[in-house]
Amino acid sequence: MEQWLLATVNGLAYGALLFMLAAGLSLSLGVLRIANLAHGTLYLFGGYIAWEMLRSAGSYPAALVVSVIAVGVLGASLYRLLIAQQGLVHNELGQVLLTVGVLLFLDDLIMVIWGGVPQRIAEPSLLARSVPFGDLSIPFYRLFLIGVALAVGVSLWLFLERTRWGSRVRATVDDSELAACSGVNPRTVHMLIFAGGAGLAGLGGLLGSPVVGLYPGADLEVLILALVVVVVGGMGSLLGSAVGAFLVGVLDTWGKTFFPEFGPYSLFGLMMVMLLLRPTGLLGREVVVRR
Amino acid sequence: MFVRFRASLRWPRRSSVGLVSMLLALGVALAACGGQESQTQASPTAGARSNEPIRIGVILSLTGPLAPNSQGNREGLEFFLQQRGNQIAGRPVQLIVEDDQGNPQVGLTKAQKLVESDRVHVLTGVISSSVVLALKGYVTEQKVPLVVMQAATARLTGEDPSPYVTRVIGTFEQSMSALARWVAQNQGRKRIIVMASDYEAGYDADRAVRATAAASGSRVIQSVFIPLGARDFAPYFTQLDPSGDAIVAFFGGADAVTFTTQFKQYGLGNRYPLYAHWALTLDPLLASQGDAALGIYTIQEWSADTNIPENQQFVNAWVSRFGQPPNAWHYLGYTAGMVIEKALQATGGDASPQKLAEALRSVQVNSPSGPIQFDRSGQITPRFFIARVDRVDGRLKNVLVEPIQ
Repeated sequence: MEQWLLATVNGLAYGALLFMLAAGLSLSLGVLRIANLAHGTLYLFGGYIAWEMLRSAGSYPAALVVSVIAVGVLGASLYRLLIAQQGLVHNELGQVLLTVGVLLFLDDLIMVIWGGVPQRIAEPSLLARSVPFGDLSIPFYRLFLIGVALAVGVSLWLFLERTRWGSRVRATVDDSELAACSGVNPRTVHMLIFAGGAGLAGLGGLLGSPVVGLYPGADLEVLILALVVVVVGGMGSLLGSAVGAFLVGVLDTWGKTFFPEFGPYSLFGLMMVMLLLRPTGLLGREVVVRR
Repeated sequence: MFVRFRASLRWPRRSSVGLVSMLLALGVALAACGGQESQTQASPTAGARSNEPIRIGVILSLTGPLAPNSQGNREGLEFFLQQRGNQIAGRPVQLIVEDDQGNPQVGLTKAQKLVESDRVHVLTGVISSSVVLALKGYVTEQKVPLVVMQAATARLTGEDPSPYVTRVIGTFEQSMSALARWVAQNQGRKRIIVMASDYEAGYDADRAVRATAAASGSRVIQSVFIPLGARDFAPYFTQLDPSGDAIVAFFGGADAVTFTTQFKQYGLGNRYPLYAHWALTLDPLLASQGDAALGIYTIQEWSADTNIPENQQFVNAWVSRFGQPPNAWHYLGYTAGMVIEKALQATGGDASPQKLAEALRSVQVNSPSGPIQFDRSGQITPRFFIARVDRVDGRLKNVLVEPIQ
């Protein structure tokens, strides 16, 4: 019983981490329908920038602000200078090829700047405690991540649903021509969403690396996890991503705890079942066709 | 109500599934290959003149989880060659470095490229045990000598050894057996839990610990294997048998950092003493592991602190060049260089494969860890000792505890 409880709490914490990784991708892929395969690399970049800031300035708030803004700006320029400039906004194959190119380039850049030795951002000392849990203990940081993921999810929802900017975003996504007629510049809105998604990836880099670590190659693992979450949750739905992340987190942890020999496959097994039964994902919607 | 968007893009309904599968296929393919890197510094030249450069092919896992190890081996070998003015036995040396990405298939392709197109005289490097097993048959068939730096699976030299393979690192069987004996006899642990990476090397480690523990009045009550590159060790921690009294671990590279920090976070450090292969707490990893590494016992085969002239010479030269002491990866690369040099000196600079392979087998080298030589299977027998992670002058360090005979 206690093992079940522990596995479930762990799974929720892992789900929170997955949501942090996937929220940004859910914005760009789910909302904008732009396939950004460099998402994991933006995550890794954010993590390394935060690590560098912590090493030189030693301040968490500074690391947070700098990494989110730096990666957001990187994302904005990726969108503005490459995707939009090359006319790839509606060309998925072009987006995939372009962002894979960016991924390879940034990956090598990371290797040149920071080298191959795995680094790790230590959690703030305030959070570096463990909470006793039966015989074992749970790192407090994991519980903190659950809270952060909920906070990020709720503020994203409030932003999109309850603010003027949010309604501009929704209008642009629903019908960018009509939105443009009412004085909204769709290109700017798209760029800002994309930058927001990138900024979230940067935030994920700072918050996720005490658990995941920073090393060349982490970006691809993060990308795949985020894709799995978005696929399971359904494209185009923020709630879907949240539910998908927690579902994947809990089921994957249960799988690894109780059937360890199937550990490496539990995640993808879940995704396969989902694709077979519900190709649009848990809360995804069928895309309306207008030709 | 939650936000749901009606997309404005105009594609048929099925294409959303198509896009997803395309993305996944690409993502998986990328993850499988990692980046590609190859550095070629030589062009094959014809003829076997004695002033023709010695071409050394170096196969390392420069990308992927084993990248840090590879970088260290490479720096160690390059440092050795710099010290020799890039000359061995009177002949200039060309290094040709290739990246196997930790993948046996890629490793074999790169070996074929080095042997058949660059026509190297000797191969060295190799980090991954899976890669080295893939190369063994090929180098034997092609009759090209291979000096293995770091891939330590016992199967390479234990089963059907190749006359063309020599290895400058102890096998996992040697090191983990020595560790298990010490844990059972000197530490009096009776119920050991093995935690290891879920691949060739981890199974080797598990087999060795099981066999030795049983022979030393202890036993292994549980083995937990964890996939390479796991991010979350928690599900494996919750399975551990509470009646165990020691954990013997085998993890390296990025996994070593994740394992060590999460082991501490989940409060396991208070419950089980931790014993491991030296790959877990290698000096460059300690900075990332922080206090979580304190108190971990490891089995080592080389230390910068060993007081013998060969080691002091190596360490001092390294410190004056780079400003910090070398690590075990550097030591292995450096030692492979010494072994190749000694063999070429023995043949009088003749790098023909047969002669070089025979010479490699019979060399005796005063390496930084003491004199080494190869047995009939091409394997060295290291002098093992136990170290513990302590804080010395504010820095974490593997401190010598005692030698193992």
